Amino acid sequence: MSNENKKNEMDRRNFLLKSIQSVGTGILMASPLEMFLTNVLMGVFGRANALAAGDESGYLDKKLVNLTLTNGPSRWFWDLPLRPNGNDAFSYNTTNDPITSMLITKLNAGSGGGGYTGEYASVKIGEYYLPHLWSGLMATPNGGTAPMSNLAQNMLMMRGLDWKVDSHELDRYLQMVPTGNSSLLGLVADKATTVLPSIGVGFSATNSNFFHSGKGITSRAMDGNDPFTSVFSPFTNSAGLRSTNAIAGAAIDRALDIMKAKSGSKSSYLPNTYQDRANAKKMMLLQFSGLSASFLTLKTKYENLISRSFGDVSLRLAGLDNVAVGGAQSNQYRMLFSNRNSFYTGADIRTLTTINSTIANLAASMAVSEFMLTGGGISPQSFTSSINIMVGDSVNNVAVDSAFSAASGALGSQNFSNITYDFNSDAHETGSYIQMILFSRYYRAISSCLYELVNQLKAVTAGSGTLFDQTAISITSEFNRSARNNAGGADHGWNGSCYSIISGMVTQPTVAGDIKVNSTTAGGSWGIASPMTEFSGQNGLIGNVASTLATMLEFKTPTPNNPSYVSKNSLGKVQMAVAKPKNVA
Amino acid sequence: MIKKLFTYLLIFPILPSCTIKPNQSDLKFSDSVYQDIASSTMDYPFTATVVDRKYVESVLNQVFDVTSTETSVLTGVYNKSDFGGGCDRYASSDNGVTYEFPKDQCYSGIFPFLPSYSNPMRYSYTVKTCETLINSSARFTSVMQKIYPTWAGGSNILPAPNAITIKTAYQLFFQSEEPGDDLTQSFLVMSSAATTTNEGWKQIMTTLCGSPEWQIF
Repeated sequence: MSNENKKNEMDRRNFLLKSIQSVGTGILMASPLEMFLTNVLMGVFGRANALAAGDESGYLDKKLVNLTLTNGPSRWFWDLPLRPNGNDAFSYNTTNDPITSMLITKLNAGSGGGGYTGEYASVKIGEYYLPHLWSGLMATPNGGTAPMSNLAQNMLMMRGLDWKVDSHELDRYLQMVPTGNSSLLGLVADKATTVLPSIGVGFSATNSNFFHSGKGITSRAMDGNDPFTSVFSPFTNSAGLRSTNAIAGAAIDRALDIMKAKSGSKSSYLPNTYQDRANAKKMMLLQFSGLSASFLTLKTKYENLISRSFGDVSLRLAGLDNVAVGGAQSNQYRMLFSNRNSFYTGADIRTLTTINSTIANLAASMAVSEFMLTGGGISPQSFTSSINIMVGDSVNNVAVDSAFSAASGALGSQNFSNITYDFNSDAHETGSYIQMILFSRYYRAISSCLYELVNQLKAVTAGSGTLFDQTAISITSEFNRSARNNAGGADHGWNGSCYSIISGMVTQPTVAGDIKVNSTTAGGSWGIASPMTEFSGQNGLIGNVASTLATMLEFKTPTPNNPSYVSKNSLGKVQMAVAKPKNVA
Repeated sequence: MIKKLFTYLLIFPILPSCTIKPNQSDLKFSDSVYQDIASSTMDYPFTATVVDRKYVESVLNQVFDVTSTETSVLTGVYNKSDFGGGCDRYASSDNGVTYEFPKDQCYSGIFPFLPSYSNPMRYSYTVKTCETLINSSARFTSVMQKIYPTWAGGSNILPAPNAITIKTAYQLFFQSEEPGDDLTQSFLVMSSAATTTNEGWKQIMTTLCGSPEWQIF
């Protein structure tokens, strides 16, 4: 191009720019350059306006937040109702435990160990009888409390699930990747329009092992002391060519669009890489500030809820942790610590947890979830659509004021007084009373945190409803525990697991799934699966859970041969596709 | 029976290929220490979709002749979790952090590499890195002299691009691939709309460098 032509072209370009800016249209322009500039400029303004108006669908994406409670805590204290109809046939079956069954949720004065007798007690909430803990309170921010039953209003509890395999690792993996190649979190992420379709908290470098995406996208780990800064810092302080010259930036985008148009024929993964690049640009347009402080504030809020759940005496529940119990050398009081030593605990087992007790990773994961789902006041849409959380495997900071040594049998011997340990959820050697106290408080803490997260999601408008209506929070563990006495505690209950979903799509406390009244291998009505008529005589399987989540979150189920427990009505709310739960002889 | 027969007929034609002795240079997990790692931590095939951090680093080094004193601009490329890739278990430091126990810092301590997947962070790092390199007079001179070997560099005026030079620029990142008529035309329009030919070339190089396409397997 000669200098003269170049000058003319420049003049025309200036004219075009002014024309577009003044009348807002370039319809009358015809040359390739004119059309190109029109597209460039309209594209710039269109995208900027869309982002500013928040009219993109990030809040309307379906969201999945998966909490895995590691090491297999007993679930009958919380989301495994063993007598959901109140009058179901039930067996404690104390054969394997000479003192009492493991299946207790409440203590009554009596002749049992320490002067008390355990009982499986329930409270009716809505249509179903839930474990005794649900009659109590949970912690809310700023020192408040709320009935635990509030959380149950949006909860679907599926019980009598058979994982088919007895393995901490495989059962954990199976529930996230039910067919070995399609992960539930990946299926949600593959439909997401959010900028970071999936994140993981608590899995560290192994996070990607539990996440598979058909689009080849990643699940970004958000661990460490400053995860917001870690994940958002790539998008800050871009001072190069594209951010200082909008015209050049738009021209580059246009060229990339041409490349993107042909990318699908080269690799099935390639279109998504272009989408990720576009998402990166969206993020660069946002203003990030105070990320470290934001995380700390949110984490502190959840830490306080956890602390109070373990140590606030006003939250104690009658029959559960309101009277001093202890002082006997029997299996009810036996406890396994995470260092694999077991003891018989001292005179008042209520003091085992204090305001210093906590659950590893719970507060951080809730803080990350709240920020990433609500946009944290930075983005008018969610940052992510699927979140994988591994909740710590123990109650940290359990205080032993005095203890019997399992070895010597002497109270306070071997300097056991005032020692702080972590309690391991893999409760092979943890007796019934200790399980009841510690797991109930563990679930009280989890309930408090989930209730706060739910309230935050309810506060965000999404379409005609709220963000909570688009979200399913699944709570699973490697397995439930059987009532079979196992070194003083309870063994793996992989063939009697349960799985809960909390969602705005669930409009009343709901229980599903059949269990056996008794078990030949592990006594009592602890939740072992019974075949379901609706599932062609099979036990409930992870495939049925996967189909349930697929129904709720509107992705194609990876297990089409395993029906869902639910269907959705025209309002997008869950209705049951199986009969009411039964205890089967 | 019919189903079994059908299955047999499907398998039969490929049986001969199963008996071929593998090339000695083939990686065999069964003979490798990685067998345990693979079986204990991964129950599915390794499916990398995008190149890892070392590949990204090497391409940028090769295209822009980045010197050792300039590697700080590639800091983002070293971000392990976003770019995936190999891990030196014996390195005493990585990404500016000195390790007391290098072996334990190599991901989970047992896993020598992270799979590379696509995510917005890697493209943000890539765009930032490309911008930094192209805005550097020395790096821009390096890359443009691969297209115009006699160009003096600096603020000297570059020739306007044409189909041949655009193809040369494209193949710096895409090796033997062709840019295609649409993209070539787009670059020609982009250049003609720019205030100077040098500016036009910067936009072309920024587009190519920041494209995710050269990072896909």
